Amino acid sequence: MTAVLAEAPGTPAVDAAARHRAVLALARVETVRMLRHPVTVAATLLLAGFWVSSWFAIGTSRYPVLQDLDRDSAIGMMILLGGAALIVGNLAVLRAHRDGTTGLSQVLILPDRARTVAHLFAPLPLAVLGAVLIVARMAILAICTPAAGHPNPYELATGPATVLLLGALGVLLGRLTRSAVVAPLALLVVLAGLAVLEPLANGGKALWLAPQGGSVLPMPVPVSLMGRPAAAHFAYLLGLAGLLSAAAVLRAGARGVRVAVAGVVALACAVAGGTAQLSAPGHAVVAARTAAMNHPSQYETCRELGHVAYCAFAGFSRWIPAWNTVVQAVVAQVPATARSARLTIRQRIVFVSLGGGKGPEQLLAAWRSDNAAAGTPGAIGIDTQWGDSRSAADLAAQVAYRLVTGRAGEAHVEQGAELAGATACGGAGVLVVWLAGQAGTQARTGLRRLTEDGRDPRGGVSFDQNQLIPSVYVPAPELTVATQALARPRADIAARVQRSWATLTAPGTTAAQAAQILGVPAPAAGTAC
Amino acid sequence: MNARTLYLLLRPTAHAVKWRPMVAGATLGLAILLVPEALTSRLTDAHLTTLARIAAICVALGAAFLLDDPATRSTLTVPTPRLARNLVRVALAGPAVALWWALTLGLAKTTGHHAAAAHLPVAALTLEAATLLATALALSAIAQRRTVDGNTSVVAAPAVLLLVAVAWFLPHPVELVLRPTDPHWTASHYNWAAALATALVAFLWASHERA
Repeated sequence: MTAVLAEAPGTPAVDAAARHRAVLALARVETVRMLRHPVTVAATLLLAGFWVSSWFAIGTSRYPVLQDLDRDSAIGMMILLGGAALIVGNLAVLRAHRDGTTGLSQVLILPDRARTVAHLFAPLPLAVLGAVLIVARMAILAICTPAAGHPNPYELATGPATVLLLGALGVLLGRLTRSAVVAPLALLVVLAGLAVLEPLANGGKALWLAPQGGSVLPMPVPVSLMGRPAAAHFAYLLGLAGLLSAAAVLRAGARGVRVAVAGVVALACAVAGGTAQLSAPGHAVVAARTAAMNHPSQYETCRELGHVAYCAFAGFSRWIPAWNTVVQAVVAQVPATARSARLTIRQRIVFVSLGGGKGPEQLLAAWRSDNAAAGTPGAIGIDTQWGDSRSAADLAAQVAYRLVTGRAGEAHVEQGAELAGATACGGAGVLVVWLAGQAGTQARTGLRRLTEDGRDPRGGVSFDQNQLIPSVYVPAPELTVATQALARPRADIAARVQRSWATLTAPGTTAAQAAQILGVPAPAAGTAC
Repeated sequence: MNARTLYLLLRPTAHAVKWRPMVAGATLGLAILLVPEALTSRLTDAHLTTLARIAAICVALGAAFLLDDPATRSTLTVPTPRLARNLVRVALAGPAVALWWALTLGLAKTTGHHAAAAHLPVAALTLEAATLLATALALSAIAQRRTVDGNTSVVAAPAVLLLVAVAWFLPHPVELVLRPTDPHWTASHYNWAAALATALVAFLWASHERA
């Protein structure tokens, strides 16, 4: 503030250049105060800390899908940096009132409206800091991990745009009311919106009018199928920020052509962006989604590693070595005679909204014909999510089922239109779980978690090809025997498996017989398979 | 310091307290929980729990203004200790907040048209709300020790939000914010109880005036 007074020339009211310089000087001071404010510093550290800790805590962040993480990062930025801009900007506007110097500010050379403009500039460097953080996060993930896909620059830019939007909201609230509780409460309204707008909008496009943008698809998909109107949403957010800024300046007493022009431009930007985002996804994207869902083989590139063909959608092929590690670990436990089958691992995606109410049978039939057309019958399905223990266990169990039974696990519709995987009965079921447990520590952890917390309502465990379509179901008695076998020394059980492979995989072998062969206690009840 | 003095303090303190932030927080909290519930029947247990938490944060923010006292410069010399003055303020606001919370959760449970509303974990959410409230008061009391103009809310309100943000991201085994279906739900509420105890001790400690 002293800088403003010191730099101000004698007759500021008539010297427009001096007025601009004074506004910039005040904006500089407010910027530094905002960046140095404990709330901003804490929020920035929290955001960075959260991003770093998710690297260690969440398995899938080792294999990130960048076209999903961009939105995720932008929302984290909106809550933390946007929240900081909202609260600190509001406190800065209310400073004069808090300190009882409102009357004094009336005699300063800068009128309220010019001071408001300076306050509106203050979140700009914070938004730039946000942009640097979000780009750094993406760059580190893209370079240091086998990341899939690539981020949408507009989706990334919505993070800093929300910082500007909430910063402008803080200034406007400071101009509307002198109560310091209003800005934090406004932030809570934004948070409540994050929590419930999705069920309220019921998947409708109206959700795009909220700062966080529309809902995400149930599973990661290739970049070309995202169909998110991120550019229009970015323009919409900037337009909203401009509108709030114009309202704040108007409220502070500014009248004139420039404010009107700025307001009209912001309104046009918000309306144009707001309406454009409601028309997405376009017909072309919907058609491409249907085609990729029903005929995945036409959109994938395959790569052969150790007699196994891996077919991945564009952008996901960097995960193939990790899939191969799990698959080869299972294959290595199987006797050489049983390895003759040629394995194909095929990525598959599902768009629930495209089912058209016809149920999943059509999709499953489409996948069968797609497999036949591609010359890969019995292809094993895999998700567009990888790195967590569940995914590893799912893949390992499906490969095991394929090797044990000679066919791939496939879902079918049970009574009540529920999807269920192929049931692995008796010795086959025991082998599937035991083999899945040999596919590394991740698969072992996934298996343990499934057994402990993720049981199917029928009592066994279901191994899925993605979050919506199950693949193989192992009933409870088979699971019990396999869990006991996994607790025994590995070499002993492996030798018994090698010796009695034919008996164990024979269709008539029950779980009790398998338990006897493996030397573990028999289960209490048999399964009606 | 006796009960009669405290009783005499009640009425002037009730006049001195800034009630508006508390009323604003309580009103918004009520709306945040009840409006979405009235608009849709698709809310799950997790949604309602999150909304109830946000409602509790709203009123905790209001409570961060409870100890604001523009007359701080003059109260240094009064014989009534700060702890007693703070406790009088809490005694005035506490019942009102408790009543509001009971009303909010009661309405949420009875007006909801769906099963999720009936399963709202009331006791656990009440513990969380009490912890948030105690934290806001403790932060205000800590701010009181440093302030010269009695404007404690300028520190306490943002600090409440920051602590909530930290709590939201706490990892296992010290996690606090969980879904009701999480297997660690009960264990996390031992953490909440520990946080409540810490906040109460901090409030009492910070309310003591330095000799």
